[in-house]
Amino acid sequence: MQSVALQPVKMKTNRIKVVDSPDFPRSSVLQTTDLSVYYGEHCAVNEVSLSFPKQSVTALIGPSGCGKSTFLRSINRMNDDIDSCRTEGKIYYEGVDLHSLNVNVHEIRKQIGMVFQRPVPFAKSIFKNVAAGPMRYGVKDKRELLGIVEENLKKAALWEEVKDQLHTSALRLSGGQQQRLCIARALAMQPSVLLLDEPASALDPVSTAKIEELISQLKKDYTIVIVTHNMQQAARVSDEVAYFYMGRVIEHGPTEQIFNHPHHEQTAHYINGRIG
Amino acid sequence: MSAKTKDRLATAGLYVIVGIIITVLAGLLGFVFVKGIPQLSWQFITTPPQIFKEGGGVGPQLFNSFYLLVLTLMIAVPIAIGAGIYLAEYARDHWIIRCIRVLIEVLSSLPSIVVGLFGFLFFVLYMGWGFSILSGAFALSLFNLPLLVRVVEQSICNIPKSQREAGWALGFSKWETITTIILPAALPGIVTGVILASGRVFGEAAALIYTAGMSTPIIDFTNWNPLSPTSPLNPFRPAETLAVHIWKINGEGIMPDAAAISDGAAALLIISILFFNFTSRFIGNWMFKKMGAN
Amino acid sequence: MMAKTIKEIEHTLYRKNSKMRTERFGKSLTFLAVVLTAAITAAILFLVFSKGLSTFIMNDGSVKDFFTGTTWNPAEVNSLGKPIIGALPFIVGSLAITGISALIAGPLAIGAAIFMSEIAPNAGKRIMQPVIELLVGIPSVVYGFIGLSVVVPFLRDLFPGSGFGIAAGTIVLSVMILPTVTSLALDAIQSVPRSLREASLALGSTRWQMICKVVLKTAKPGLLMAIIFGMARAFGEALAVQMVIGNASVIPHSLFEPASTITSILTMGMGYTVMGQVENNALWSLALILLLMSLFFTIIVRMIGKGKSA
Ligand SMILES: Nc1ncnc2c1ncn2[C@@H]1O[C@H](COP(=O)(O)OP(=O)(O)O)[C@@H](O)[C@H]1O
Ligand SMILES: [Mg+2]
Repeated sequence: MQSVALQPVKMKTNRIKVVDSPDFPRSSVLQTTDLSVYYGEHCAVNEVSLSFPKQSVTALIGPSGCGKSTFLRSINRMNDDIDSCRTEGKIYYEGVDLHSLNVNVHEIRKQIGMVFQRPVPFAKSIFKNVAAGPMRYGVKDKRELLGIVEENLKKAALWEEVKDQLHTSALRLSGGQQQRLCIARALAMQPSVLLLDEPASALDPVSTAKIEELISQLKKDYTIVIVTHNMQQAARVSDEVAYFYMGRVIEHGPTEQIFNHPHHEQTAHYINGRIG
Repeated sequence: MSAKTKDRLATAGLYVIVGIIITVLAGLLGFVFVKGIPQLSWQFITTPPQIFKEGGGVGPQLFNSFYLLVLTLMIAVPIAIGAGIYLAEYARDHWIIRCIRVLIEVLSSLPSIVVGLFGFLFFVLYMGWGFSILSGAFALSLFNLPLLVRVVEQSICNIPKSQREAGWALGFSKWETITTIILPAALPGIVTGVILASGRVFGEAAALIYTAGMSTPIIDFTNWNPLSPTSPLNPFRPAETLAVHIWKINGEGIMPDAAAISDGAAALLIISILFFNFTSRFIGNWMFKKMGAN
Repeated sequence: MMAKTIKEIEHTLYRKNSKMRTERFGKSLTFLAVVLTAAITAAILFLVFSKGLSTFIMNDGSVKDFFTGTTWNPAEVNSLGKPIIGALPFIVGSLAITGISALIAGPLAIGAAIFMSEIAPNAGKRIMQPVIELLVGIPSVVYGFIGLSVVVPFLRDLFPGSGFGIAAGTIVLSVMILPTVTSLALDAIQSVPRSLREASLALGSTRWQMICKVVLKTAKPGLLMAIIFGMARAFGEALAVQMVIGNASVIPHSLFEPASTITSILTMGMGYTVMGQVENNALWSLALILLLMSLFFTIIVRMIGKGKSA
């Protein structure tokens, strides 16, 4: 992981000169500075500054209601659609301020994929679930679509299980399969960042293990941010951990350090309470 | 009287009430079917009515009813889907929206004769369409719009929020999410509602007597050019429907077998309504199943 | 500054696509549909009001005559030179039919709803509810036709007179609105929380006491709404009534004499008058009454609904 993080990032547009974020570390693809999110008066995320190295997994941990989901949702600007929600501070993705005026929010969500806590398959066939995104973006050729569907179902480790029933309803799949389908659907948009909000918390242990395995695989190509309540899971899949409490990041560092030598007592309490 | 006795008496009373209701309603259906079904024959449902002698049928009327239904749905359903989408997905709590909702509710509560008279004034006279299928179809569309809008809005609202968020998270715009994800998911509910509304359209008469008219010209069922005056498809010809026909021959029918014809026509009408009722259930269930929802 | 401009051109996040345009297009298109629906209502209201009021404004009709006069002959003028537009017989006919139907159908429907929800919930749900829902969809001409072929001859045999009249109309309308009112009443009763019932039974009430004290009391606004819905339907029904009421424009002396309602006179008259003339405008005034009454019913239902949710 370290070696990955130290490599200079090959940005899609590497001629960018980053003017409005002078302290932007070149290795991180995604970074927030003093990000605060309010629901009305209530401050759900409080001046959070985090950066996410490319091709790594960062786990966000912390008690319920501490703002992890809110933080995650503000990255791909899903909170725009909530009327009472207001955001302060900056989010940079490949050096671009995601709140700047001319950024296309649909393009953000295309490049920063998201998977939710509960699997949300569309009431369509498995094929159409994965193909929905590419079709919207102009891929019409049936053969090409089939290629995309196969590729992404394989990436999501679902292909072998569903290759003979691509045209049956996605609602017939088990919960774990549905969640992997949702991951495949997100991957089909060719994102570079994946935001996973407790992707395995509604699943059985076997499915959970499959999802974790999958995350370790996907790390090679994607930058992953995962919210989880499961400390073992965080320890197994993540390279870095950020501990949230009451909307603030209390501690952020390499997984090993956070789990073995946390700087803050509170972090230790939370992790031990969770594990023990 | 003790509370126990009262309880027993009241229960007995309720049984009596239900007995009365069941007798009346069963008698009603029984009457129509027992008297009407013997009248039904292929000849009855295909030949035109006779004015002075026996043996006429209701062929054109039956055709008119279905044709009017199709035209009405073609006009009303797209508008209802549009309006339902807006009210379910875009409308904020704003005084304009509240006014609009009140207006739609008022429209749904207007008596059909009032809507028919408006249609008479506007479509028949002002637009100059005369007594015609088109005027009738528009009047019926107005009359059924509020119901259809409610059906669409309700079906869309029943789709969980998470489906929308999943669409947005793929980079879909709101509109794309609605058209490619929400609307297909809401389709079974919409179809069920539309077919149920079809029953209402099919049986409506008061809104039609001054719009689609009370007569049917001689039509030639071999001529399917919609522009020809004798074509059944010509939307500018007057068209008496089955329901209107029942009303008319009971008021001014001079054929000797008017009663028998009404019996047959009433049975036909109720059978059609039953048909819509069962199809809506059947298709709704089938679509839900096909989508894999349990 | 310069660097920023370059960036905006270069990064894919700044890529424009047609989404914004289709979004605006879709939103406007659907908004148009909403506005159209509302505009239609406004147009109907406007037309009926302007036509209905023109009897009094253009043709110099007297509002007092309209509501109190008993002779309907708009083509002629009375000694004051005003058209003879006494609509009282029709208004009385409509109100009588609506009121009596509600008195008959209301208790029956509530009784049936109680039965279906409290006494025999299984049979109620499996058999009666689908049948009732089916009966809601039976067209009103069928009710009128059955009234004409069964109710009218029946009344003719039992009572003096032709059998046509308020009584026949009332019977037909009661049966017609019964399924609707039952179905709505059932919704109201079923929405009473189970816990309230159980609490009452636990306190030692009999079932009937529980029904009276808890179920009916809690469901009262909903039951009222159900009955008013039925009344609105009865008041606005045209053909079923017109077929059995006898269509005589007088105030009847008994329930078994021919009478008229607003809707029956509208159904009969509109085809025989010429647009713009006083006979025709007078009919539109009747339509206006019909419309005002339906607004009135809607407002009452809304008010009860508001009170219920508050
Ligand atoms: N849509 C919303 N509107 C108002 N408050 C919200 C909304 N979503 C979350 N919150 C509040 O924001 C805080 C953080 O919630 P969330 O981000 O979901 O926490 P977590 O995911 O860490 O459990 C909570 O106090 C929650 O009540
Ligand atoms: Mg959460």
